[in-house]
Amino acid sequence: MNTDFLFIKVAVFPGVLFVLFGCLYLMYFERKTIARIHGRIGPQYVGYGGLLQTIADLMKLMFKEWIFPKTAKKAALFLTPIALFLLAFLPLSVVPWGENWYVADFSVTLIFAFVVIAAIPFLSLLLGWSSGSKYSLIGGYRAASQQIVFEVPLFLSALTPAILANSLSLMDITKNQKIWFLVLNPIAAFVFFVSMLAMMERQPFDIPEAESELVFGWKTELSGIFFGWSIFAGYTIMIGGSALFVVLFMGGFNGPGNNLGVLWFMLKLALIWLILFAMRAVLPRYRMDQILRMSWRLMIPLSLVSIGLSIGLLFAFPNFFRGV
Amino acid sequence: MNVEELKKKFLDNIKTAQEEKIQDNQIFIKIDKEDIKTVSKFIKEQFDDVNKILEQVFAIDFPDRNEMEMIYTWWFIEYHALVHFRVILPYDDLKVVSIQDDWVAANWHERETWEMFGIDFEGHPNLKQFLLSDELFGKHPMRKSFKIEHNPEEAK
Amino acid sequence: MTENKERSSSLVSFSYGPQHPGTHPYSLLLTVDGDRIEKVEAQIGYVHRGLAKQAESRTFIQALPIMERSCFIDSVNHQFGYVMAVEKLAGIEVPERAEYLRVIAAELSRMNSLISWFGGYAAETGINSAFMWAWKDREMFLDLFGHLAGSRVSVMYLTIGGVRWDWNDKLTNLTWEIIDYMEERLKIHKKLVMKNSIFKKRTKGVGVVSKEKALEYAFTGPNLRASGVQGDIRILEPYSVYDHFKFTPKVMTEGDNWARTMIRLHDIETSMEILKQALPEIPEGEYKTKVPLKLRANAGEAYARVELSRGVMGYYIRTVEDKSTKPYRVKIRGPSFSHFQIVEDILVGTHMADIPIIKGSLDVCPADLDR
Repeated sequence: MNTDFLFIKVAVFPGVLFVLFGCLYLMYFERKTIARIHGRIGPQYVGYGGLLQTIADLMKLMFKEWIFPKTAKKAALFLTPIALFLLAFLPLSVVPWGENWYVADFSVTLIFAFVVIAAIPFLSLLLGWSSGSKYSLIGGYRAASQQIVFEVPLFLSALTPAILANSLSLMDITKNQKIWFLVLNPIAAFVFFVSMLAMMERQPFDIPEAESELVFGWKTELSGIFFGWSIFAGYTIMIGGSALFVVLFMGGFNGPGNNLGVLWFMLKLALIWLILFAMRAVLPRYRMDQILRMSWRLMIPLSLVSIGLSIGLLFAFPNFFRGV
Repeated sequence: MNVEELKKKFLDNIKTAQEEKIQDNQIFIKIDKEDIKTVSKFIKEQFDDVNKILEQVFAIDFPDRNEMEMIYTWWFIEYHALVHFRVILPYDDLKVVSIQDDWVAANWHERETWEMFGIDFEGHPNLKQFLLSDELFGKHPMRKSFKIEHNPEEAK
Repeated sequence: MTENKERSSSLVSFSYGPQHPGTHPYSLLLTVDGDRIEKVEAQIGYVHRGLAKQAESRTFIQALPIMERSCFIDSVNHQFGYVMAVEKLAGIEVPERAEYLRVIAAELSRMNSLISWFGGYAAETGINSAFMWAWKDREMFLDLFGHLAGSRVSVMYLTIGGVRWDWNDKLTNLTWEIIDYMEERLKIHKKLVMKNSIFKKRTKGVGVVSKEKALEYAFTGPNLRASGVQGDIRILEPYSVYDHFKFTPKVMTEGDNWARTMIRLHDIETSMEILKQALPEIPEGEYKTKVPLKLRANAGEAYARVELSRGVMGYYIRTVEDKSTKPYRVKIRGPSFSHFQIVEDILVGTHMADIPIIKGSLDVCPADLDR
């Protein structure tokens, strides 16, 4: 394991500072893009073109009063957003942003990432329950059941790149990805993308926080900086999920030119984000029972098919995949 | 069936019905308050060939005459006709039979009338606070005896 | 017995509204079993202003602006019914030019109301773009009302005996512009919302109101037409000059959210048809009859109805003394009052997530609900 500049990697890039600023500017980027789609202008007063708007929002959240319902379980309500925030960081530590730009690299990083992701639903349920409000509770239940149901196709479809690249390490998967797995196995990419949306609670799967039904779902009763943490956690999960998609299906840092890996990675990430923003602007949301049915009847069978397809490819072109 | 025939049908079949007037396509008929249930059943059962709705139920307060009027309006869509039934309720007997089991639409209208005028609807399942705030509830503000208090000094 | 006990313990009841982004100021007391709704009780009255009582202490003309407040979004049509009732009572003739101008303003107001509803409804299903786009379209109407009467939202264009301001060529051009613009925009709206498969999944077959139920609950307007009954009084009992124009409001039989949405979009097209026929034919002449400021009416009663963008609006006005300057009793019959009552019935057995979609499709205006 390469430990040069480990402090810089953990603290600056691709570690804490990068993710924090990434979240802030992801929010800005999202607000601007969606405003354009809506025919609005978006933030424009704080800083040049509104560049400091999200930072100002963060400052405001920091100094806001904390308001909690009487019935809330305070300890859980205080700690869960922070735990969620920290937990959301972990998958990012194993993402190879460039050939040398990663925090940790070991042989089973793919499994590590998914073990962490699997813990998220319990935290949203805990938060929903500890809020002491019925809207939060219903939102928490919805979040947990949606995420647990979509974990299955998510993990199954993530096996496909592992099979094709013959490795469980994200670094090896990237290196062995001469042709994008998106092209080789589009079914798996589709299933992974949809399940990832459901895990991130993005439209059209924003059911746990459906505004017109549940106010803000399991985040309803959070206030001040705790709300800020939960929002940050949401965006960190979004960065993590889309980064995993880039690594697993879009060739990661592979691209023409020497030492341009990080740039290629970022461009691919930005492409995914644009798609996510556009979906948020124009898609309505599904109903709970509809997506549960979708997961069991469509996504899980499709992910099994995609595994079969990968194994078939492996047997059909053994020479192509032997370079591993 | 035109407006005239419709009027005739009601006058022939409802015992206490008295014709008042016809305005354009609107018939005004006065009936005794015991008959309102008969009328509602009659309209529900006798007009199979036409779509009809209970458009509104409301009351008017007449403190000078010591009575209240209630008006029930049915709209016969295909006849292009409206029929208003007028019922007089004396002050000492502000009670009328509820028609909400025949016409569900009457439920809220009667509830509003009960709250605003204090007319009791016998057989109505859900007479409780509806539109009014706590401080106005029970004062029957649509009655003429309720004056709107406007005090500019207080408003400051 | 034990089963019952278990069942009742899984029920959760809470109040949906009035402080809730998905409701206007009204609340639904819900009892839910998981995601299924077991019982609904509507609580309204949060914006009750007693418009009818207020009108009793004002003269006929002073009561005009109040009548508009019964729901701001379709303001011209709300006044339309009131002025017709007063004119009927006082026996005032309205010049034909004024009638045409009234119809034009009423149709513009109807389009404004429908497109605003469409945007709000799309936002309730989650399509935020459609909301922004529709409310951007609404600006066109508000600007036109600004030119027409000086105020954008509460238009106050109609008055007893005619309209308050005359029409001019600039307004004609602006109206034609709106018609052209809306024809394009409607295509875009349909592409964005009505062709979306998720939107179809959320609305088709959801919130079905059968024809019998619609009649029982006194549905009118688009909601009634979505359940298969032609109940548009603009063609059934034409008031004003609606009998001069050819148009056919759409009737569908499904009675679900989808049908109600389609009918409302089609209503915008119907309004454009009427405007296209009315604009070239505005007759010359007076735009209002002179009416004394202290209008007096003899003892009597009048009931006039208009087709709102939501349904039938009725105004009953009663006077008891000859030469009275104030109405003795005004009854405002709002369509939303009848429409909203059905939520206690059709929401039972549906999912939590269907609540905003179903009650949104009924196009209930809380201001009109409480009056």
